[in-house]
Amino acid sequence: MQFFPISTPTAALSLSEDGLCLVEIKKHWRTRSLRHIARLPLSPGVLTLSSAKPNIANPDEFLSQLKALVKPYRRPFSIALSLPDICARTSIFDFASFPTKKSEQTALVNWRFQQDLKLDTSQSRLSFGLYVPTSVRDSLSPGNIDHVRVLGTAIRHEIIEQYENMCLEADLIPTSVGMSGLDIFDLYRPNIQDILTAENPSQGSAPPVIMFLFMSHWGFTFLACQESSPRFIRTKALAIKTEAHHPQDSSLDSESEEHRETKEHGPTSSGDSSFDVPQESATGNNPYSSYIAMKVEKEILATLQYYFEMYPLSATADSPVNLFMTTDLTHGQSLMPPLDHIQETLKASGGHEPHIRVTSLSHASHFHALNTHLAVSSQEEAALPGYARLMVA
Amino acid sequence: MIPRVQRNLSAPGIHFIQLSQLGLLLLTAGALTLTGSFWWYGNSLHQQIDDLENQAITIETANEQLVSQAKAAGLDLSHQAIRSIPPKVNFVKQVRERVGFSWTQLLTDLETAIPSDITLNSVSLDEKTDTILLQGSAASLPDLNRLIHQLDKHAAFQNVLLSQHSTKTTKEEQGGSHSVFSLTVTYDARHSTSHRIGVPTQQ
Repeated sequence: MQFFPISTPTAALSLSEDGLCLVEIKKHWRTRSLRHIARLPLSPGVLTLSSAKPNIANPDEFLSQLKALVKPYRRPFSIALSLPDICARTSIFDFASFPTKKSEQTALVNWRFQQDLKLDTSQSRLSFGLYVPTSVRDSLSPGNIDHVRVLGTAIRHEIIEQYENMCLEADLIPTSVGMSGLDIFDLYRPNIQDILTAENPSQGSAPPVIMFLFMSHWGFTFLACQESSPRFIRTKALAIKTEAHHPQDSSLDSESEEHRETKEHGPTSSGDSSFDVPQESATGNNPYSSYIAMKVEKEILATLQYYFEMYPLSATADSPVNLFMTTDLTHGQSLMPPLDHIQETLKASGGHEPHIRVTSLSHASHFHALNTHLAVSSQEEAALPGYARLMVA
Repeated sequence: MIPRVQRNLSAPGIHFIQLSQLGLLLLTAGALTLTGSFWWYGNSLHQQIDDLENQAITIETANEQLVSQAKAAGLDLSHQAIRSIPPKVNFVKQVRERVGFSWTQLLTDLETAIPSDITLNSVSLDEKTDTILLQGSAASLPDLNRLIHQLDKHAAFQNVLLSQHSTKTTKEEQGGSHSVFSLTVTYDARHSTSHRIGVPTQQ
């Protein structure tokens, strides 16, 4: 019996089609650290991630696994739910002017979702945030909401309520629900800021463009920020599974190996153990088929190309553009396209060719900064979305 | 400055539920505090009750001792005897009031109120109604009238009522006449601040 079950959650649930992952953090006086990670597998077909229809095809097995996962805990208790980005639709809208009333703002964002994404927002739960680009912010008087960007996320009621109902049936109260890619970006915000400050201490504000890539089992989310506000976001659904799941793709292994051997990464912040250059590409310890690797690479390159064509940088900008990437996949860094492929793609697209600097962000800085006793395991990566939800909510 | 982009898609009512939980928490805390204060107040009342019971027992014991001592001394302290005390007390009070009535004061007041040419034959007092019956004679009706006015003006007399008067002629007066009267007046002995001296004089 819990007297106050609704509280700030200290445990989070993240999902994949392969399993459920529960992560628990420990609250200290002013800090929080990882306490426990638990994972249980799901049978194939139990969970099918989608933004259009209910995800849980077999609620009985999902519920039994969820109950088994939280069995050691005294329930009911509050939990944070980290959903894969492809369960929702996330977009960034530009507005020349924006109303000040919350109800009018919501109606307008709903309308843009309907117009731009053909999404029936009457059947969706919506959350959005306002951002004013620095160039506009400096020239405007306070209180004037003009030229804003809105980052909005909409998820169908039937999808999110199915997850919430499963949690409630397992005596878990989902008090916080977030999308993994956005949460992980916020989790790494201080690290990105530190890297940028270390690279250019004289630069007071953030550089004009910051790119962030989060790869997961369901695909990837690419987010670009310009002038301290989100500018472009793309969530691409791709079933990224290891070769154990896709033996039929083994014919493409030689191609994949070639890709891995030519893979290059930009410099990382030297001396900072939290930002690791992936080494598995050099060792050939890549669990992903060449087909998957090629597909992921093509989609990432296409996304970058589209972004720089849509929002070209000024020709005078000579400083490198930072692309920060992270993943909750084991050896997921190996799926990152080689830097020369990126540069070649951007060069082929014409216009000003930006110099890209790729920085891989590791979860180890978060998971092991205060938990030297916690053994490194393969479950750690899977816990990243849930951990991020707990830390940023 | 790198923007925060995370969004919370939790159920819209969750904040209301959190507030409700906070309200219930406060309500529970208040109820517990109230229960504790009631418990403390009840305890103190019980303590007072115990003290009073002890005192009552002590008094009952003392009473029993007193009754037994009285019985030994020949005094009846039974309930019937005690119940008969109030009528006796009332009787004593009445006796005391009668004893306390000052005839001297009454006569003094009458002396000041009655003109000199009025002759009083009798002064009688009705103790129950504090009414005085005056019987006497006046030389003429104007004298009688003056007597009534004087009594009316006097602070010690109220409700002057001339109940009877008649004019009589005697042989000695040889054609002269006088008025015989009978009047009642209420007497208030408390008006006077003068010292009362008990004069148990009957009319």
